Amino acid sequence: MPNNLVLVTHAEFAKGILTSLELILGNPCPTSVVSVTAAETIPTVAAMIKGAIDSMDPANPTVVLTDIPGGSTTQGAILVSAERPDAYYVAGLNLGLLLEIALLPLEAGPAARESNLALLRETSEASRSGIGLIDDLTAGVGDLGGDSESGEL
Amino acid sequence: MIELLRVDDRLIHGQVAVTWTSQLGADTIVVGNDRAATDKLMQSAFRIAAPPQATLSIKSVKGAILVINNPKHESRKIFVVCASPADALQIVRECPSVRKVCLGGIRQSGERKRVTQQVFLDEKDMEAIDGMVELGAQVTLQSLPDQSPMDVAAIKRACGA
Repeated sequence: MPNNLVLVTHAEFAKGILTSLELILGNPCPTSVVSVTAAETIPTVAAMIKGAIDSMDPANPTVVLTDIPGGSTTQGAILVSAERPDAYYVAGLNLGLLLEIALLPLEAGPAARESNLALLRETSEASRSGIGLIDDLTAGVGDLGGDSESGEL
Repeated sequence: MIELLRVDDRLIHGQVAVTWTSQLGADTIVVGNDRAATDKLMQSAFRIAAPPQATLSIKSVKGAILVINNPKHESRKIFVVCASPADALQIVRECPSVRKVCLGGIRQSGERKRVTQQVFLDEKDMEAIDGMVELGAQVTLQSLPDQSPMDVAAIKRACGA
């Protein structure tokens, strides 16, 4: 079962990052975009997010991804979370996180909520560890040992 | 078990590291490429690109063949990536367990003709593909799992061969 993804961002970031998702994964999940402009109030943003959630197939788990915790995108999502408690809400949208969440084997239904939350937490952590100076990231993986001409891995 | 041999001149990148590895449920990615086997920068780039759940092994083409044929690795779900149809032919010829070959990304260069947005082939590539088919391999063109695969006849039609 695919995950429904609702991307909530300042302006067109959500639309743009969907083209990145598509390049790498194709179309793995139903998606919906909420692009917040300077004209919207927080309750309006919340109504837009709610509309996006309600437009998707309720048989799938729904994940709402917002861009920054300190923005109206996330504030709107917090308002919605009270009214749509079955959805999952994650802040810090980036491509690594989006790819991982698109592939995450979430399960539908309230019984799966705790295990779904654990998966989402783990994924957020993994995504966080992918942010840094490239020098530091490559130093973290160390040197490749072994003989490239041998039959050992 | 060898799940798939992908031909992709970028070797490890998003479509490979994220999409195919996950789709195949591979626990091991073997890169067979002579340049990558000696190029430390490429190795660093691939190592940070590879998904944490998979073991990445960067080998020469010859080394990849030895890994694939090593019975010690039989229980692994191995996804093999090489850069060209010629390298793929060498692997198919020497590895009876490699029977599924997927052309995923071969970019424009020289006389190569466009088959799809991501795959361009010249006569030498076609000869290598024919060689793999003769050896009993199933060769298809498919950049992403949710695209429908093209068979060799369709590939030939597309590049006018």
